[in-house]
Amino acid sequence: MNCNINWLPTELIFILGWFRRNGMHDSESDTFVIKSVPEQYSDKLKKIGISSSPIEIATDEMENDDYYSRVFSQTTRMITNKGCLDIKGKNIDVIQIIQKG
Amino acid sequence: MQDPNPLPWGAQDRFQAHFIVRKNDVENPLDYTARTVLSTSGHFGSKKIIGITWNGGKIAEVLNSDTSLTEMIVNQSPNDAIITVEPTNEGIRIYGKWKNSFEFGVSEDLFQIYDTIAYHLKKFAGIKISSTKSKKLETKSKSDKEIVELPKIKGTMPKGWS
Repeated sequence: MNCNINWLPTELIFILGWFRRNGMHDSESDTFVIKSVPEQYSDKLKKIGISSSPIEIATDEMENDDYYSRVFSQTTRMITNKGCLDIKGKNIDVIQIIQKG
Repeated sequence: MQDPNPLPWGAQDRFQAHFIVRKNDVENPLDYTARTVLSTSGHFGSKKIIGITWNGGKIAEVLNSDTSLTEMIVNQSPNDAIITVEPTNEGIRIYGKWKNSFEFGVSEDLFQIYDTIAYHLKKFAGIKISSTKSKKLETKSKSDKEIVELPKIKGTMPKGWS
């Protein structure tokens, strides 16, 4: 549609069924950065004031280790390693993220 | 059309974060194994935690003796309050329940709980404790002592002091 609709209020454009000026019905950005699970988790930790840095996958010795001791019954057998995060200034040394299956 | 008999393998939308304290070759693994046992009231959405106890090896006794840790865990949701501590070859792992990608994350309080458990693990294993954390805990215990010792100080005041 080539007609100029910039003078119309956004709500009215939405009711009339035309596209909004940004091309979407909500304010979500058209572009996004692909992040790994540890990178996403690092962002979540940053929000609560904990500094961490994601480590390159399959480089930490923790990732070659067993993920469970099998002392407890019914622990998951099939697990996918998603990577590790290094934690600074805390008693926790490293965080490993795993996915079921 | 969706497969009526989906195949049982493949990665699922279930994630878990393991908070690890590095320690090689744990001498007696059972000493470092513990899990919370919850006392709850109510059902489903209104389910609330009344109390928790740690069940497991020697570390469970250490964790049970920390009342502030127990209080912190009691304030969590029943799902987050189930915490497991277990050793593997390269380190001691602290983890909660599996979560889907929307729920997957950690709150400030929950991280504080995991960090306190890690502090007790390091202390129990004789590993050097992070300086900022130990200072914080020391000052906390000092302030607790001060509160306890206040009546004693009052008792030593001279006569006529009010």
